[in-house]
Amino acid sequence: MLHCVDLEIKQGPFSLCNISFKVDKGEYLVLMGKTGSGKTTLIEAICGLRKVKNGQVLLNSANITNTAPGQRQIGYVPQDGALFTTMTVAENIEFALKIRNWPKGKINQRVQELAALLGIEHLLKRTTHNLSGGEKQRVALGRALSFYPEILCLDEPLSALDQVTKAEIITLLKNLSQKLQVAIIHISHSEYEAKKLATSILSLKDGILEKVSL
Amino acid sequence: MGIVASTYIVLILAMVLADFFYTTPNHIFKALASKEIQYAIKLSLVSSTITMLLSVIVAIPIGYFMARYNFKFKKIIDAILDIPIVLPPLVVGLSLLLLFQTTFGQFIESHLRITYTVYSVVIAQFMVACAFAVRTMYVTFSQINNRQEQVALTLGCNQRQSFFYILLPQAKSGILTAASLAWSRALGEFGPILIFAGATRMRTEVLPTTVFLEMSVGNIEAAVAVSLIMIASGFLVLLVVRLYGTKKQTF
Amino acid sequence: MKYSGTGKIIGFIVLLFLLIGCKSKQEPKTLLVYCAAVVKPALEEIAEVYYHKTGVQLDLQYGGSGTLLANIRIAKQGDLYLSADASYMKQAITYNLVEQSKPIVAIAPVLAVRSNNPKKIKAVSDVCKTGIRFGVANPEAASVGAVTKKLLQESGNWEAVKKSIYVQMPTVSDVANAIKLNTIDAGVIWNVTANQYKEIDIVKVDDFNTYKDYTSIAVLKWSKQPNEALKFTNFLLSDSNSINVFKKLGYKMY
Repeated sequence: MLHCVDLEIKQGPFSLCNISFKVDKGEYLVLMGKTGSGKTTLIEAICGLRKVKNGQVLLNSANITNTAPGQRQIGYVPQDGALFTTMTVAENIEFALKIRNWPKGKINQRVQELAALLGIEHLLKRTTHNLSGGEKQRVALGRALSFYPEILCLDEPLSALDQVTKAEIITLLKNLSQKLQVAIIHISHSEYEAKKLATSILSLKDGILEKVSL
Repeated sequence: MGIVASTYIVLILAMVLADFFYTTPNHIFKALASKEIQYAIKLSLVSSTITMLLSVIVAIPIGYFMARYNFKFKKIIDAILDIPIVLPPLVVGLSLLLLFQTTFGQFIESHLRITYTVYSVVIAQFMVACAFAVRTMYVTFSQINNRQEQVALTLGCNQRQSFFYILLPQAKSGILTAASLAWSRALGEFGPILIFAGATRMRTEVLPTTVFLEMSVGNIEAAVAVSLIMIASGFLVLLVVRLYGTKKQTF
Repeated sequence: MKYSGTGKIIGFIVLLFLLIGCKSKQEPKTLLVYCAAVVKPALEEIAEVYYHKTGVQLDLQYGGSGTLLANIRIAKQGDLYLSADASYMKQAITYNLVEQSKPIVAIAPVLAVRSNNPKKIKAVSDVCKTGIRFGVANPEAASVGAVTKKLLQESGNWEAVKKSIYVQMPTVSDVANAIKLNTIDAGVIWNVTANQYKEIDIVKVDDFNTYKDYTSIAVLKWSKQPNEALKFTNFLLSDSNSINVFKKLGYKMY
């Protein structure tokens, strides 16, 4: 489904070279690497938020290397969520649908559906300010999933959570990956998370991507 | 620390009190009853409000580009934006007067008389007030992390939509600050107006001009009364903006 | 990067001394003179001559006569007041700021236009024509404005002129500058002011013919050095150096 071919991305002094990998529907790819190894850079390039110097990003064999981020149908959850602070939880989730001019009834239906799936029905009317870390991740997931993306990119979704919440979200992510027709790319530096969730693991080291056996 | 801080605040209040004791309610009512002063109040409020709106409209895009984009000569443009803040007010007025005597200025004047009219009042106010609004918006946008905008882009927004739906709402309190700053600057503007708009009663006379003219006739009581009217209206507007701005944040 | 706390304090103290230094330079013998804008060019030169001759520094504070009067009443300091015309000196006496005044130079208001009179203005009625931008000094702020109003009221032209006034400005110099800068076509200024601008011509009009006035000078009551102030007054009125400066700049001694 998503196929990166010989990607080269420059970021300030260092660059990523020869990045090639594939993810398919139902797969759960965990991308590992130390802080500063370029994991976030790579995921931003896939989402279209960063310029690619060389190589191609293919989605269902269509070249989307230079497509605007909004046209790619890739859901993105940055580190600690980056929820829209001026909106309520429901407004966060329905944002992508409003941009797509969905009819009101359909939007409400989709929001309810996602809220049930993520267990956040009771939060819908709240603002984002006083949500807990786990709640924020759930809302951010809902927002990224709202428009039925084919790929879901998660940047360290578990890093700021306490043990109990972490376990909850891991179960949730596992569920999502099995229930939804979606490929997930998950950035992490914890082998524990990788082993729990991944169907395949890649490691980024010194600008080079390596396959790690499970 | 505490002494230094409180000295200044006491000094401000003492200044206002000194005004207060120089006048009587009678003088204030008499000032408010004068046709010229009524006109000056009206012109001051209207021109300051127009200046405020213009300043915010101009400051938002400039602040946005300065905060979000890197381009050649950015440092130089940054310095240019500060010129109106650095210039003495008289120089701003004189420069505007000269600008409207050039071929370009005369072309505008041939369609719409600017110099010595109410338009020149607004322009003189705008030139200075806008610089403060730009500075405020620049800082405001710089302090807002662009991650929310980036997420919005992946959700299907274009640049324009993410600006209006995501960034602007986050900048709301900054916009309010910029607006109130521009408004109060415009209200207090005097030097450039005196030169570029003159001091014509019932035409280009704003409240600071009134204070000046009343003082010139030796009517110090009226000058102080008008000063108090300015202090009160300025304080009221700033207070309302502050209260409104913080209400949003403590949510 | 090593600015210690004491360093900062020392720096601050040095700044403070520099500030005090700026002031004390003028301290030895200084006269504060509130001076109507109309005689500014002459007073500037005379002040310099006077400083060289006597070592007494003149602090000249310029403005419209009325503005200065208000400043004096609030500040309650200074040594001399120099008014553009007699009416303001009368006010100063009424407010009990001065006791007696002496006339310096004769002045009269004139209708002024840009040199060679490009708009062909011949009479006061011409300034009422459409397209002519006519400026006057604020009757409230400057003595030339008050005199203009009074004279035009006497000649019966004020009501008509008032409606066609394009701009009012706070001092006579502002009106003259505006004529020079071509932001107005005509204005009423003092004859002595007009003489200082080569870009300005005078149009003789009947309305202003009858008027004769004089700038005058007086010692302020609270002057701490009335003798010094009186000495300068005498120098200004009768010393040949001073008279020459006035003559050179086109003023007529009273």
